Amino acid sequence: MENAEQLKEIVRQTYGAIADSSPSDAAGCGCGPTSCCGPSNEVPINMAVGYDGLNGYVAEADLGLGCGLPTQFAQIKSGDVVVDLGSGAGNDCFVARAETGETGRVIGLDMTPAMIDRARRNAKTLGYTNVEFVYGDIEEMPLPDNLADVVVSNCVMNLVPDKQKAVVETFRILKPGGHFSISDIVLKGELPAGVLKDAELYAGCVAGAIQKDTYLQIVEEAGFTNIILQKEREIVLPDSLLKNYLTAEEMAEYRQQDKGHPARGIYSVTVFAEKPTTAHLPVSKSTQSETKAASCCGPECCS
Amino acid sequence: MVLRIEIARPEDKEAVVTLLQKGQLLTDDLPSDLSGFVLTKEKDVCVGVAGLERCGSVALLRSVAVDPHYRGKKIAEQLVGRLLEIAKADGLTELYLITTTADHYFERHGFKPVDRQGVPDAIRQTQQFNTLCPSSAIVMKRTVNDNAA
Repeated sequence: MENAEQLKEIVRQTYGAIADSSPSDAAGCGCGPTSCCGPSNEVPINMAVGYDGLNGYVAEADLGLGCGLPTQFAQIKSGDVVVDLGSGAGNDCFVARAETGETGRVIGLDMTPAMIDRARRNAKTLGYTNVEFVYGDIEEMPLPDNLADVVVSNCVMNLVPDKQKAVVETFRILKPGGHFSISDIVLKGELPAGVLKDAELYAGCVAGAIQKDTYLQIVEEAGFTNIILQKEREIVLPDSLLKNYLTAEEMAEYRQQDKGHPARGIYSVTVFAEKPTTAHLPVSKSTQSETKAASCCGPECCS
Repeated sequence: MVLRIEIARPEDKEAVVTLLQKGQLLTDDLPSDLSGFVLTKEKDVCVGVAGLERCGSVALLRSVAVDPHYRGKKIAEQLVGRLLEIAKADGLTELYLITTTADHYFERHGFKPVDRQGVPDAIRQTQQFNTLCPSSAIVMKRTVNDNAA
């Protein structure tokens, strides 16, 4: 496995090439073997989930590289400052902009200069003055402390060699009380050597992914609270692909279920977490309102 | 502590009933397969629930309950957000709910009280509307596609 700098350079080159392609060329470029990130075009797996129904969606800015829809779960409010880590051509920023409105501010961070250029062109075409794109590293963000109300990121953290640093940086740029909603690729359980080898072919997508439990632990150790796994979806590898690497016996083992859930595999997840307002967060006073929420139809009518 | 949101499965029913009973909510009219319901779990323990009872292109938001030990974590908000996403994806247009106590909470989440007379027939046919909730309960509605937080 390459060292961190080499890995980043590969990512930069891969995504630089994508940024320079035409949107239609890039349309099929999901995180998967169908993509230009991987050598195989045979198996139709696409981790990119459709954006078509979302406000602010811009086809020109959607290179099909994401694995989730973090903006959809991000609870962005009008006027919020939103930072998108690994903003690419800017699509998630434009979706976020639809929610922050004119009074908000959206900042996209990316380490591929060609992507920044492309995103800026897209913002200019759209006439947005409150969406900006910044060149920089997720492990050392060129952004001030306590900047963002919301941080989003779509299938990017797995590319970052030092995930702990990336999460600590995310914590730093969030305002106290702010939160993130991040879509990413994680692994679960022991994956057979053949499948890991296959995963390596998903250059830039699965290659840098870590175990789900480790991922969540990093988030917790950075000081985040209210960690919620908003979405979890297995990236189902078809038999036709698995059989290239696994024996029938190994395949059966890979597919084995544990309490109705697959015990191992490659997953796309959306994780939400909050930066506490104070170091020792007292039990929220908003408890009262939630108690009310819990009671949809009061006891006097329903018992 | 990590919580996770997932789609309810038929085997979750017992846990859901317990949770709803703690919140003194209806359990008699729960769908047996829990279709349209989402849960919050910590490990394998169910700590929050919310459901959509579909009636054509509209649905009744129901059974929003969070374990008392887990309140103040915006769990209900997350569950309702997830249901809204599902409603959007399935092309539903409006959500209704019936409450006697939580109208202020839902008002902050984009619901507005409506006159019972204006409620579509499909929603009127639900057991909650029809027989189980009192006529004094507040009926609220929100459209699926606006971005009210």
